[in-house]
Amino acid sequence: MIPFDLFYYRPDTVDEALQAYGDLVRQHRHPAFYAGGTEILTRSRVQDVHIDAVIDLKAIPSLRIHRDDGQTLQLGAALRLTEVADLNLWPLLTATADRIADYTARRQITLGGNLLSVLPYREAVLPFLLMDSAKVELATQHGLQTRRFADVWDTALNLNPGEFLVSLRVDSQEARNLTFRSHKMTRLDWIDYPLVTIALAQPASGRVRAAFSGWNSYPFHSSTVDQILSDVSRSPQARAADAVSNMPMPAVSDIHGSAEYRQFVTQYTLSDMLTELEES
Amino acid sequence: MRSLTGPQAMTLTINGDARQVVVYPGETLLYTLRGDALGLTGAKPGCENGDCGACTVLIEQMPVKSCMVLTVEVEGSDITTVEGLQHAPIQQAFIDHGAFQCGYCTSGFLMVGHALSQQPDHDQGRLVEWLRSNICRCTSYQEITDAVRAVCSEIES
Ligand SMILES: Cc1cc2nc3c(=O)[nH]c(=O)nc-3n(C[C@H](O)[C@H](O)[C@H](O)COP(=O)(O)OP(=O)(O)OC[C@H]3O[C@@H](n4cnc5c(N)ncnc54)[C@H](O)[C@@H]3O)c2cc1C
Ligand code: FES
Ligand code: FES
Repeated sequence: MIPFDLFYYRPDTVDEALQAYGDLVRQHRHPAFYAGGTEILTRSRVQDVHIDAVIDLKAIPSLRIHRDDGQTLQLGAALRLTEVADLNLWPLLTATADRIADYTARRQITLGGNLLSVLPYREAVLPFLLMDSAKVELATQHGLQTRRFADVWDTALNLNPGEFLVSLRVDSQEARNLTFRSHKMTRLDWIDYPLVTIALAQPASGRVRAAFSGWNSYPFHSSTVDQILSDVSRSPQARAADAVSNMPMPAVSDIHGSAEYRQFVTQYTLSDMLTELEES
Repeated sequence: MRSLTGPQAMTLTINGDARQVVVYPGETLLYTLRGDALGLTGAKPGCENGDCGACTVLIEQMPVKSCMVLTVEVEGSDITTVEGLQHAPIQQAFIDHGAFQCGYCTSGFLMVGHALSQQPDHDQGRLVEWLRSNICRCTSYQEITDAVRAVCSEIES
């Protein structure tokens, strides 16, 4: 159970949130930024995390922003996944986010919460890994900072303690002009963590790009895999087989499936997706 | 900025009534509802992990898993629990279709089915998507789906 004597703060501005975090640390508390709360509450219940103060970000307007001015598409970190899908400003993100968890849970899980989850899956990351133009807006002790997504991401979004994600941005032309496919493969049930989730995207003139979740302990994109998948002189089946052999890290074996089964599922799913992408 | 520490006296609007409660900021809504002060035990603790949906209630007429929300987050919102469904068509439909066995999941499914039936759009795709949020260990899925579909079709006609 989350401690009853939890400190709960609900700031109205970015500055108040930063200030609250700093004050709580000075009081030797263990604060966490809180969005949908689904991970914080479930992990606290099993004492997988020690948090005694939460700073609920959902009342800060800039974390709830959603706009597309024709040049930049901006989505606030505290938008719920169902809101992201209902707005449908970026169909690739809609398709990927709409397969996370179940409908009722998606009404609570936020975009930022999924991106900053400690779980390996973080499926909403995949579309951002495919976009050169993706940027994050961060609240830091030095004010708001906008950085390239790729510069902040290695195996996770690397934020310093006390920093939080305000919004995400992508070039709206780039987002709109993509042909894409997004497929989630689970072991048995429709609602489950992925054996593998694959997002494929192709700009009007350009290489196929692919990002994966579930294959290993973090979502990733690999330019070697992109290069293999983009070689249209070879059949989709041959490219998919080659891609699976050239992943940057081995597939995991876990309760969802063995490494061999993951490879098999990834290979035939990739092959089908390439065929669909190229026929569309 | 709202800042809460220690026990808080607050008013929750539950099933149309204003109810005075004292809650700690770390309490989940499920815990508050089922506690002695409110005694609304219709929302069931199942997994308390967001997976099963037995704890589902409605916040502003939409389903929420009450094990995954803090009570302090829903102060000022309209909360509906299964106790607030008074002769709702979904209840009769569950009886007509025999849509339960042990009944542990039933209040959660009733809340999802009721909320869906109140939506302007409840086509088959949406119905399947919403009902996938809940788990029935006794696997009454077909009967539950039939009951919810019957209420939605009745409203449409
Ligand atoms: C029933 C269920 C099913 C799930 N299924 C899937 C699935 O299929 N695929 C998948 O990818 N995930 C799945 N998840 C995991 C879920 O997406 C993550 O746990 C996610 O973190 C929840 O988002 P939240 O907004 O509730 O996060 P919270 O619990 O509020 O926060 C989670 C973490 O992110 C941090 N955080 C949140 N917002 C910010 C921010 N703006 N800036 C900085 N840090 C922040 C918090 O401090 C915390 O460490 C599932 C979760 C549940 C409960
Ligand atoms: S008890 Fe809340 S989802 Fe299972
Ligand atoms: S009727 Fe027993 S769990 Fe659904």
